[in-house]
Amino acid sequence: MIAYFGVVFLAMAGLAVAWQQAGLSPDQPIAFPHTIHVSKLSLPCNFCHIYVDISRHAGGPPVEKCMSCHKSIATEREEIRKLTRYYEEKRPIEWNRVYSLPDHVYFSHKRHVKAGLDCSECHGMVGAMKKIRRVGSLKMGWCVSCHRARGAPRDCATCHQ
Amino acid sequence: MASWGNLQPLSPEFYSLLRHGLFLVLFLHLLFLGFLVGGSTVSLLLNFLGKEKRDPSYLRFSQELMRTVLISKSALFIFGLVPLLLVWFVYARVLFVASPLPWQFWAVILAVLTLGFVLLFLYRQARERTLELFPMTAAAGAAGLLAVILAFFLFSAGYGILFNPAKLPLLQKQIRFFLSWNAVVKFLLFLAFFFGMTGGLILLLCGRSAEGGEGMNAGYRGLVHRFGANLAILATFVLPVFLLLDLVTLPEIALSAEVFVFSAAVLLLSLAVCLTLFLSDGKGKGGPGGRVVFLFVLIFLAILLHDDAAVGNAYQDRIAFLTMQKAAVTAEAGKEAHREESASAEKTETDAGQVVFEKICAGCHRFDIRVVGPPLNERVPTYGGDVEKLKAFIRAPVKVNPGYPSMPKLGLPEEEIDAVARYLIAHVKEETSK
Repeated sequence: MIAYFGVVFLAMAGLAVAWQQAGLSPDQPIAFPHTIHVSKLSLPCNFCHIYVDISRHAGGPPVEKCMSCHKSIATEREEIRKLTRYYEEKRPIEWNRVYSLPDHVYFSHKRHVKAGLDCSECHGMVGAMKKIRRVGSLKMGWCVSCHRARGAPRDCATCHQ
Repeated sequence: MASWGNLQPLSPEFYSLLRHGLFLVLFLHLLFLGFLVGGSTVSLLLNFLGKEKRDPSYLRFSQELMRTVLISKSALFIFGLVPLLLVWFVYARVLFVASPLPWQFWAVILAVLTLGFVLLFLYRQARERTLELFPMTAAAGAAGLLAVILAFFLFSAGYGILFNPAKLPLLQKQIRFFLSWNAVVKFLLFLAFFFGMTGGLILLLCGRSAEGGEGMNAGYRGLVHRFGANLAILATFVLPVFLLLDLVTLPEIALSAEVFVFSAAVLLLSLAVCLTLFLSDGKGKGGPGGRVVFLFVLIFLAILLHDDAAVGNAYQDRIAFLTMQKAAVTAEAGKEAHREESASAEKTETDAGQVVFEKICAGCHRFDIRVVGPPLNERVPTYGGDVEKLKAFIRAPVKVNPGYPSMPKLGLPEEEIDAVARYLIAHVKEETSK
């Protein structure tokens, strides 16, 4: 009996470790708050994610874009000092990916934006997240159920080209 | 079709009150329903066992069980049906964007549950009259039990949606998305708990009212005790498996350290039930019933805390959003009051423009000084009062002065662009003529 409960306990601990490893909300080199930029300033998503409607990848802003405002705004804050250092040293900011798909999946932001999907359908209420966390599982079932509900193509080659 | 959509957003406090209230109501409702389902199932089963073994103690046990389970009609109403209506209300408010399940869904659950209760009551009354078992009586009991279980399954499916906010937009498109593996696992988890709880309650409550000789009494008590203990032990062995499956099927965003800790608590408490039953075998007069029931109540509490934490995780962003929205509304109300005091004579059109300006433009622009963008007292006069030209720029900004960052395309609705352009021209004229 003890052994049985022990095994279940170990399995549970295993799940906990797996969940920890999954890293839904990794730390970022700069603690960029979407709350301020999205909710308070009402910047549209593609103001910074400049390629979202023209490319597969949404992309992040070049450091110059951040600096165009932050040359004069909130320059005394620690996170902005970090940003300025990146800019002065001409180093790119290595953001940690929150959403990534395996290589055998073809995914295009452009197509989804053009189909009229709101960013929040996959990325959640980003404007309320101080630190970004992944809200969808990004598993195949997750993609397919949405494709089914919206009548989007479900042919294998749609995503596995 | 009635819709619960477009409800006013809630304050975060009210939201958490509702959420925790939901779990409190569930606590009372499901404990009651659990004993009802478990007790009725065992009672029905005993009928057949009694017939096969030709032992009247089984039938007497079955009769006593139904008497304990269905104490009165008012208890059925208060603990069985009223909480469901409360849950319905809470549920619609918790998922305030739009309740994904139409009211018909809840009406069906309520109707099926009521039908089940009525049939079980008939069964109990028939059981009360005689120890003999008629096929009709058994059929009514079985049908009633199935109806209650079906209603509970539908309820679990609805409950499962609470843990997966990503499903809400899909549900609005197609209702069949309401079923999920997690909901099925939750249904089975609760059922396992129901039977364990029933086992504990049988140990605690039953086996006392036996009539007849001393020897018969002891035999009867032994039978009841065996039944209760076996049921409880079986349930504690099954529970952890469903708990694991629940953790596997919950969406990742619903998980947190808390959820795992409460799961581990359920596991430890299940182990405690097993140990209590094994160690107390044959010892003591009072029997382990009280302790086992107490442990099962704790198990249930841990399960609900686990669920409550999971819902909190899944809706974390929504709660944060509500908090921010409330802060914004308060700030806006403050500004509004201030505005009303200062300028009551201004035209409504310019007012609308001012609202847009303060909401959108003021993040980057002032009239007198450079912020992110240039001072408007310098830029607006270059349009020479041409509203259409200014509107065209706001609609699709282009970079004019390389010394400033480019202005984003704001995607404002046409009437807001119009209002803000008129406001800017009027206001700048006023400022520069001072």
